[in-house]
Amino acid sequence: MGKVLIYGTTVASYRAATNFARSGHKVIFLNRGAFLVNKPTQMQQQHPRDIVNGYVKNMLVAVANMTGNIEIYHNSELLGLDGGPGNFKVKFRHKYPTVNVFKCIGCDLCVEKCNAEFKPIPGSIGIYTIPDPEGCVDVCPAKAIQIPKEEEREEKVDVVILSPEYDSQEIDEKYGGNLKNVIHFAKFASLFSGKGVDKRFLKREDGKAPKSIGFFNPAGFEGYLGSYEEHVIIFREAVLMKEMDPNLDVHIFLKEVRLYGHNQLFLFDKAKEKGINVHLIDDIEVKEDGDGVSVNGIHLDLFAVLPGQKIPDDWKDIAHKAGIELENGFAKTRPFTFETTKDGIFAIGEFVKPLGSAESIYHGTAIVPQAEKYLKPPELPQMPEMKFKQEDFNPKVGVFICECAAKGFDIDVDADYVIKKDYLCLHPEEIVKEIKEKGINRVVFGACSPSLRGAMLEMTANKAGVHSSYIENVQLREYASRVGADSKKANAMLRAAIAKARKDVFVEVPTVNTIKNVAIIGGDLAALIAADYLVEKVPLVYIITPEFDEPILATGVKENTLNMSDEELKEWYNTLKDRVLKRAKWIKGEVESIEGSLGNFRISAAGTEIRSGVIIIATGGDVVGDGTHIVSRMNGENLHSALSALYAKRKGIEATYDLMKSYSLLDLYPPNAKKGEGEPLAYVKPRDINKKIATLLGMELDKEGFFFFAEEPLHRVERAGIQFMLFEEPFGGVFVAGLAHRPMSIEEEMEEAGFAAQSAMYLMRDITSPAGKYVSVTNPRKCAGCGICVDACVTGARYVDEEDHIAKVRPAQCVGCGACANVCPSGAAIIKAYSPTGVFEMLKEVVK
Amino acid sequence: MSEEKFDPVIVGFFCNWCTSAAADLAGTARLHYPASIKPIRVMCSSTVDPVYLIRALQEGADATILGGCHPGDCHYITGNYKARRRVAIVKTVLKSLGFDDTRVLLEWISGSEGPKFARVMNEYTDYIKQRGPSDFKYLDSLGGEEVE
Repeated sequence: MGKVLIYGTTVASYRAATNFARSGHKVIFLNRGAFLVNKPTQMQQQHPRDIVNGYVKNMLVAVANMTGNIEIYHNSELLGLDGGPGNFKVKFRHKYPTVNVFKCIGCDLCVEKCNAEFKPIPGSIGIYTIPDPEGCVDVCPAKAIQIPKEEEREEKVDVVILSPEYDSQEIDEKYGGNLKNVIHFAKFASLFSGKGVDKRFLKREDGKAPKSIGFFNPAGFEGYLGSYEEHVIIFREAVLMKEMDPNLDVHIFLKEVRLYGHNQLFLFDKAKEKGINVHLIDDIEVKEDGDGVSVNGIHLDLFAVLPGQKIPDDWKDIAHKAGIELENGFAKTRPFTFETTKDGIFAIGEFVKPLGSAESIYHGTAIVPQAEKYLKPPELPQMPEMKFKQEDFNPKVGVFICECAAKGFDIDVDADYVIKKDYLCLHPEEIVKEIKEKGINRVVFGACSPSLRGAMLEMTANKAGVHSSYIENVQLREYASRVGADSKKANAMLRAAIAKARKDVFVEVPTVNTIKNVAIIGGDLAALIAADYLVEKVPLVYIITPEFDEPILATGVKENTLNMSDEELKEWYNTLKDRVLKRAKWIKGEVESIEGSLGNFRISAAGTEIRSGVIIIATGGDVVGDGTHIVSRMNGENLHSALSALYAKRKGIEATYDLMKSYSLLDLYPPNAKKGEGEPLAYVKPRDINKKIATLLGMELDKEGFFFFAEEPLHRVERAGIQFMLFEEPFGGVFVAGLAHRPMSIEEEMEEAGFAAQSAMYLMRDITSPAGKYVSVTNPRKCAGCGICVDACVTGARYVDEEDHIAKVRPAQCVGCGACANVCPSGAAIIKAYSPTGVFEMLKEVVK
Repeated sequence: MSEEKFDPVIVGFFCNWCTSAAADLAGTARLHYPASIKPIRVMCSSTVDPVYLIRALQEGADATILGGCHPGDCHYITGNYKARRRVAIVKTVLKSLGFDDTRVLLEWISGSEGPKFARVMNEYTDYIKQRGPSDFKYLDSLGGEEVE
């Protein structure tokens, strides 16, 4: 088990912390700032802060609880760093936060006794601000309140990962930061947070509804960097506003449009189509204008500014302390890795280059296989054999009431045992004891939400030998005591749960029979890199391709940031290829058919049948154009080269588009097309084979022929959710990497391949059905084999067995939604945990 | 049952991912709504069989609410569309049998819409209070069974 220190509060650093912890390594996580409050990430500039906080905290807390591998220090500052890989001594200062969010149970005692201020946040306990922490330490039963004091520490770690973040940006005065009716984009986004996009909520501070609204991002202006992401978000928000109210006058002010291929560009078309005014400007002048602001002479009632990204001053200091080099203000990394100029120190996230959140996630995942060369072998937790009782005929129901949740209620229910305790979650050992002593085999918890401590209570009952099938959770706190309900409602809810617990039947959650081999389809560079990461870790890696592509050196705008000559690159590539092909099995030929699903794919190619658990698609693309001409610019010099080139291509003009070498290192070396400056760009064409593979796997291609993969969901909340979910499972065991996905630089191929390889590793472990006890089953005696459930299933988990004509379930894909049970005409498809027997019992009790 | 003190019973089937999360948020935000709402957490709005809705009314509930994710936001991709079709059928059936079809309400409430959750619960309870006890209860009283 290796020990990793992660420094920084970015999307990438959070992702890296969770990934190392899940891979079986210890993580010391130095959070700069007090949990995303003082140091807002790039994301917080774009999304309402409560959403970011909720999701970020959830992911980290969940993984920290699940693995016990993450140690977090808040308000940390790096003081010094000595030693080398496997033996770093890191000195840092940290300060306790007043409320430790990992311990807080949300009991509200501090609000009652110490005048704490409370702010609710979706999906979490919320934030408590305590005016006088010293007098409140003893009040907290969970010991979550601490006196904020500073401490210096030294930790010995194997690897250091630096991921400091951009500074929190206020709106520059030049862009109207001091004017009223100029608002920060995050604040604008939160106007609709939790309410939905509706005209009623679009209001200025003075309560007036604006008739005209403008958006601005200073990327490209002096000193400001930016990635495509800010532009995607501005365009999407503008389109949303126009869709909400077609009479609204919507303007977008940008220096250039940074929307790249792969559907981002269609946002631009959509904006134009909706009648949004897109102003491409070289200068901006924001001043007060009557009741609103005037931006370059255009009157606006409301002006929303998404502050740009600036390289903060303290990066130099961090680099100095760590002894690493910077380049253009960003951390210098070695070709094809995140490793800095010093061995064992890695840099990820916005510390490396301007990037979007999706790339940050790739960074935070692909770092794991790279850093592992310095780490001792991981220790994966062995799942304890769960012993459960299957006494269906003699249910003994124990009701555990948490006094914190049932505050003020007079609980009077009829069960074998009713046990009332203060703060159930703080005394799990007592729950175990009670269950064992009294021989309880059905448990009903009257506590809080499963998204808070409810899940942990379920685990406690599991430890005492009660299977999840026999555990019911009643959210007395969120559903009753906190919303002004009376004892009658609380008792009715408990009675219903008891009645259901008595009827509950045992559900065996099937584990997925995962074949531990990986099949990589295609001969892209990403295929070799992914294989390189995987050959040591899985029994066998297949690469299915007739031939391997030559390395495609994506040409940057000004210079190749890899600093490698063509010969060096070729040598590197050949070494990699030789190394991989020694261990991996190369199937020379094309894929003919693919059957099966996650955990058990059957692929036939070149006359052989291969079985694999996961598929990585890396079919690559063709680089077209000789790469010696300047990109033609359609709309003057202001449109980003990528955009213009793509437009040109669509119009049939021979042009090229940027391989997104570095999203906006362009800002550092702005090319000038008028003067004939700028480096040649190349255009990537997706291969025809994509169509065949997409058909075989039932995947979609975009208009251009690239694979859809981890696309940006449209909704803001959903987007934040995807970024902070551990999200490899929904892909059904198929990953896309490299030029098959979109045009990208060689470094990005490395990142995506690393992401695919690392995510595949998680799926290679024995997994149970994601549906848990809600897994769908078929009663073979009732099943007529009609296949209606197969059509109803959204994940493809159901199929009709050709031999016995009975619908079967692939547990790896079942998510437990119950759609099949609902459509089944003969009552053969069932979700046992929601069988009518149990639900009818609940209904009887609940209406009493 | 006396008219002035009518306390309805409303059974709510809330999907795990959106509406239950909204109910959680309403809880953590201490937004009060009437205790007449009796929540039952289900995995997806499509888990709820039309029979469950009718059975709830039959058992004596005055109304039922089915809460799901907004269209397009379903955790299971299309579960809420299926629920929508089913509720439409249930409503038609109720109406053609001469029952009040407003006793079944389908509402999209997303995980961050705690305030909306409380608002819908308040409004619907008020509405049901105005409508009075459910016709099913009236039917029961005609049959002379289980009348208190």
